[in-house]
Amino acid sequence: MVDVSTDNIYMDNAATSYPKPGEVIDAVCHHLSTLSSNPGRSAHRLSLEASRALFDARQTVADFFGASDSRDVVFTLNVTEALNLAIYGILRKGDHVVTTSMEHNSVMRPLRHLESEGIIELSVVHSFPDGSVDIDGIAKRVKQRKTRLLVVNHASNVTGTIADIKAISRVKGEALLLVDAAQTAGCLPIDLKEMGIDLLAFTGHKALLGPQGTGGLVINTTRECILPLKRGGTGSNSEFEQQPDFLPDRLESGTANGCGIAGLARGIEVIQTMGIDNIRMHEKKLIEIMQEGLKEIKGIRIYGPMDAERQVAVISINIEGISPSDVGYALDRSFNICVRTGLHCAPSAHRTIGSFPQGTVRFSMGIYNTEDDVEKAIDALTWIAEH
Amino acid sequence: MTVFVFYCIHDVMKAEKAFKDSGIPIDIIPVPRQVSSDCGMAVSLEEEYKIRAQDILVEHNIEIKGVYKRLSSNEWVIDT
Repeated sequence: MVDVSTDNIYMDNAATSYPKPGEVIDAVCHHLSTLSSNPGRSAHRLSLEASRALFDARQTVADFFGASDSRDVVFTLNVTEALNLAIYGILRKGDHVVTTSMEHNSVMRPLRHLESEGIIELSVVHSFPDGSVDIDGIAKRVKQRKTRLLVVNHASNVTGTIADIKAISRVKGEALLLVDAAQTAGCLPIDLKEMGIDLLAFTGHKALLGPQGTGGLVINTTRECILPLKRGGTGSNSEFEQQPDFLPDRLESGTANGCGIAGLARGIEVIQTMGIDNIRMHEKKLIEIMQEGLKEIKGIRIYGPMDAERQVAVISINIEGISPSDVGYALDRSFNICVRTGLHCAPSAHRTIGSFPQGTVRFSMGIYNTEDDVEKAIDALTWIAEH
Repeated sequence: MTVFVFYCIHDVMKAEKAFKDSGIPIDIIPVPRQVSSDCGMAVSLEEEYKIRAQDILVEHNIEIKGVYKRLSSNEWVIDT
């Protein structure tokens, strides 16, 4: 077994955050060891405790994103499932959809599938080379009475570029705005009402500090029109063979990931205790140090806005003459630095920034990264570029 | 004994929290066989708390499916 416990500099938080806070680990273990029975199915004490844990977690998520009612929080396996739920649950034959060229495949693949089946008409608005969204371009493509859905990444998983969701919401017309918050939930403040978001898809295992297998869709409007991705047991309406029509049961079938969701809720509480503004400040500082250091390296190309104000702690680079995978391999084996290389499940985003098909080397920082980690990463890249 | 029946477990949990916060003693019980319900759990409480409890549900915007009163061990009537 590889010893991964010591001396690692983990800079792959955009994929999965690591390490997890002790509180999250304790919450998962506590749930597994004391109340891991089936929520919402029975009235015995253990089941009730599991139901309460799930209910409390739903409320924690609702409060965190400014949802008006906790029933509007639908738990899913991850952000991909949440995006699929919204996309397949809302779109019908003849609908028009607008999205951007910076989207992840979790958005692109379902949309391209529906397009290839002749169900939807899709407009992909080309983003700028620094990853920022062409809001005027979106405004021009939104069609009255025809555009049903507008899908936008809150921040790019390739360049970290933050989209101005409030400004995008102002041009959505009658369309519903679905925001992919994979890279922002937990490190940027999100308020559904204030930002004009109709549907928010999030994942638990990145900046929210929770375990893998957690995430959800938060519904601000349009409770009625979303069809379920899966149907099955809900613990409610058991005498009927039809799916219940109320939330969250309509969109959640089968036993929930109770222990994972308990960990997710604790992760959110950890963030609330630390203060999301403090987290943002910490990450901005790391971005600034990283960018200053990177600029000094010969033959380096840095993607994205190069402005800590306009991005989350995700930085993509390439070193001239060396493939991203070779850089990543050297960082890992010679310097114990974990990064992700390649296309990051976002080929369209890489085409937009000019790094397709080789991709980039992506550094993504989290709350546990230090200035020292960043300095070490810069030193390592300097060495690699010179050898 | 009075029993409040809800549409889903989410509402039962919401009601439990609201009653606890207001100091109304309640219990969560499996829905009695004689009572029609979509949801397997119900809230039981002493009759003296019924009116106050109903007000709290209105205040918290929690929809109730029905109120039942126990006459004998297996006899329940709708109690509106």
